[in-house]
Amino acid sequence: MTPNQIQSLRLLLPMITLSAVAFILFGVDAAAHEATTAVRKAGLWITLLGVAAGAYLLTPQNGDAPVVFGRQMLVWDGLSFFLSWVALLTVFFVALLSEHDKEFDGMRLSAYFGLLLLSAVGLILIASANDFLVIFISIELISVPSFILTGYLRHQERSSEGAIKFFLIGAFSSAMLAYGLSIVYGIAGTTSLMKIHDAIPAFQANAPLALLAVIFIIVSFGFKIALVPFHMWVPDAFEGAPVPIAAFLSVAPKIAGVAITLRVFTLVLGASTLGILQVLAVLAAITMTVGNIIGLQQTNVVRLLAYSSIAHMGYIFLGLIAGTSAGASSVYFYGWIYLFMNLGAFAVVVCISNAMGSSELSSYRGLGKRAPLLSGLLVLFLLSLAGIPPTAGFVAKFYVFSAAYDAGWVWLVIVAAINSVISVGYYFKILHAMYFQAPATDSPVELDLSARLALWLASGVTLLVGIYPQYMMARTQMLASTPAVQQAAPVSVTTTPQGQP
Amino acid sequence: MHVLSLITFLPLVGGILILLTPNEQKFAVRVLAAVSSGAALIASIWLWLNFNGTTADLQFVEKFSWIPAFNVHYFMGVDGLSLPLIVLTTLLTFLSVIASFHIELRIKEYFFFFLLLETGMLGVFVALDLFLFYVFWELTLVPMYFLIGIWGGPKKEYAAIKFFLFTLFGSMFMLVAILALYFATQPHTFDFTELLARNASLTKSLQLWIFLGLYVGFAVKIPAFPFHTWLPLAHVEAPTAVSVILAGVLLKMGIYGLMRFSLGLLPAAAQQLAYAMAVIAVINIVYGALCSLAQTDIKRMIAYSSINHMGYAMLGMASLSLIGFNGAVLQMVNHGIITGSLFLLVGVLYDRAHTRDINAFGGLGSKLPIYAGFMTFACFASLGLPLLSGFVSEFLCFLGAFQVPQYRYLTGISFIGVLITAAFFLILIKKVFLGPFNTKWENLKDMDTRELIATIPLLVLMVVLGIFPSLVLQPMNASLSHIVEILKLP
Repeated sequence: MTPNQIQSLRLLLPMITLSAVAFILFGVDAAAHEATTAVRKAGLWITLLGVAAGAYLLTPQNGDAPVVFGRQMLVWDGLSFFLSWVALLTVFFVALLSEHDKEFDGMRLSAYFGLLLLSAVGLILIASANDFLVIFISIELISVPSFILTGYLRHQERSSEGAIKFFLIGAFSSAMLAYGLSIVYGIAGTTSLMKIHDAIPAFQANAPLALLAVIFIIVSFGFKIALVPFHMWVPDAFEGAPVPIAAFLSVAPKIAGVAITLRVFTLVLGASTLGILQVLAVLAAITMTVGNIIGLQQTNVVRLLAYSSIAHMGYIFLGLIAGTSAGASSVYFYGWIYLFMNLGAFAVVVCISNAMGSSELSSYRGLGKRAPLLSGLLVLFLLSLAGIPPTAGFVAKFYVFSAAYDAGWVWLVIVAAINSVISVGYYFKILHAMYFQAPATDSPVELDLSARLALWLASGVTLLVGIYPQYMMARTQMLASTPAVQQAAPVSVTTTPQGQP
Repeated sequence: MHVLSLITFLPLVGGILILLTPNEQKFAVRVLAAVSSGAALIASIWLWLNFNGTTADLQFVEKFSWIPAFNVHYFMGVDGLSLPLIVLTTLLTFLSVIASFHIELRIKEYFFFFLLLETGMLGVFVALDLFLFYVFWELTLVPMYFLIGIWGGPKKEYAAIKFFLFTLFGSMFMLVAILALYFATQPHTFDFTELLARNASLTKSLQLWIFLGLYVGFAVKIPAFPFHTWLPLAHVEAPTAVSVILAGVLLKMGIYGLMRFSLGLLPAAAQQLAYAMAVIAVINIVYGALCSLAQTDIKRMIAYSSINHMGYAMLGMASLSLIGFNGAVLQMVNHGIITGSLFLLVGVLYDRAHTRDINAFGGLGSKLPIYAGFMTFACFASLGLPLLSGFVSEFLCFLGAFQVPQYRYLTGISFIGVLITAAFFLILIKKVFLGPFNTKWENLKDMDTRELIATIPLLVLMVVLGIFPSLVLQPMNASLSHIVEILKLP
């Protein structure tokens, strides 16, 4: 093996490990006939071990020069490192939340965990993609397990309905992506992101065709990451899916979206003067506005958080289209904080849905009395999602606003600021139910160990980073210092090309 | 010695201790609340006594790097502008805590939110880094939302969210303006003193935009016309002690913000827009007074009179003169004391009669002599009777405004407001305390010890500040003339 192959293998090791653990879990699922507690516990532990091993094997990145590997199909830089961590933490949280979810009573869950891990592999791959083919494959690798997971409660109609909608939209958008990519290949003669960056003059020369390609790609990604007007599948999929999977869906596609946008749009195609950034800015403005306004009408907390997640994608785009290193850094920061505050909120939703058997707003009535700690934590997460100090959500929002302002997107900052006010309208509906209304029952809500762990972790980060953001900020700035594909180009010379197509 | 941090965070520490107290220990909760807010009061009086009023420099400064990535500092300090408001805050909070001792519903949460609110308000007055200022500014919202929403009147929930959304809407514009200030200076900074030193580097058009952004944020709090609609609702629905804080302290944050940040950092814009602000102030004065006159609910009447009184302060500020500034700050202090006591007194009546309808009473003067005396006294202070504190500050505000040639007519119009104010307070006194006794109220009791302790200090202050206004004016003179000089430079 050449040193290059060894290096590639070393960088691929986390993905290989996670896939291997996923298949072990499928094996456990096949071997176990009964859905005993032991089987479920084994499934959870194998998953957590797999996630830990994956995290341990991730090659650390401290703002070093990007490394191109895997026959130039993949790149390992600050972006890949950061998003891999986000992906692994998401799976970690979702696994913790799934453990005691009453929706899964009588299920073995090993295959469920295995599918989660496979999706995580897809997320790590897309974060490291250096080629449109890898992007396409990893999107499928994220999506296919997600379809199955959404429909995992196969005896419930709403679950199947959500899964089918999700699947149809997913398949449709994949087709669009393939179509767009084929046009890109036709123009540039390559699918490699680095080479496409060099071929930007060709795009400008073939402007109408290139524009068509870009439109296809934006629409396709728009469906995946639920930009308005391509968001219709989100609320149904969220409501139909098991609640932990709704939590997963509220984070995972965002990671993919951030990765794609940073790599493809702002760094590669952004320079092509096709007005992509303007299009994305308008989409971002529409996304947050529509997400927030429809959110106001919701009475189901999961649906409400679904629209909230749509709106947050809009805020994240503020940092993305800034196109500066501060913008990338703010996106990392926002992503990190969003992970904790959003999954924290979902952790509470899982607990309530376990206790009450419903996620309707009425189940939250009087929660402030029945479970003071749990509702206090939910207040923290909701305030953070709304961007009220002294929570981390405020610092994150401030960071993306400042990045966008500095890059000249003042109108978008104002739209986003007004949106923050609108979003309070629905986040506070939950506060209203919890504190201003009388409880339906007086029974306290019980918390199991894994939910406690998830809640403490999420609330700790949400509060501490809000009060002392400096460490996290310095970290993201360091990672964002070299995310650019064009900066990766000189490094690729040192890695000898092998068997190029 | 971090005395400012101490004052700011003492209430929060008390609040956290209260959360840790067992549910049954209601007495301990009340004592903790009184002790922590009382300690903040004592510390702020110490601050007053040790404050050097001969200089415009910032004193008791605390400055540490907080978020170096953004050049954000934990930067606190006081000068003559903030000192009176700090003492006002700690005093009113302490008295409100005592006035809230009869609350039984969810008492732990109540006092926790109350003390958290005090930390937020104090932070607003001591913060000198715009980022820190914004954090404290927003920090006041959440406890206020719960205080109105849980312990308020019949329409409390709507009042709470309306208050929250209005203020947040304003602060979002403020946030964008703060960002604009940050990026307009080189090197980027949120530091008040550095921004002040570089205020000449901003172009006039940029100054105007930033000023407008900040203004929307501050105007909602003042509340300046047309952003005032949240106030009557919030005041009427809020529990008594919360109304006191709302009128006594929260409204001051708006004019404080304008005087501290908008005027000094954006002098060219301030001069350009001063006339517009004076017009809005006159609308506040006349419109607020007329609305007040039309009310039959006593609390609502006082709420609208707050709009009117804050108009005086705004008019004084818009004159951009030393006398006007002196009047504005003194008016803020006086309004806090007078309106605070008025709300406390209305609360006393409401607790007994469960109505605030001005026509439901009559002849209470013979039945409740102490109460009638106190209420009449506070009403006279509020309508600006000489020798009581309200007169001095209103006079200074008018004097400051009248000195500016363009404001002559405006000032003249605003005198109508003074007349109407006198009218509605006199009507209030007549309908409630004079005339034939309404026998329905045969069993009303006069004020008890708790209520006396909460109100007497305020009544004493009305007389003291009416005779010796220099107690407040002296320490702030140097700082306010500094602001006037900044405004004269360009």
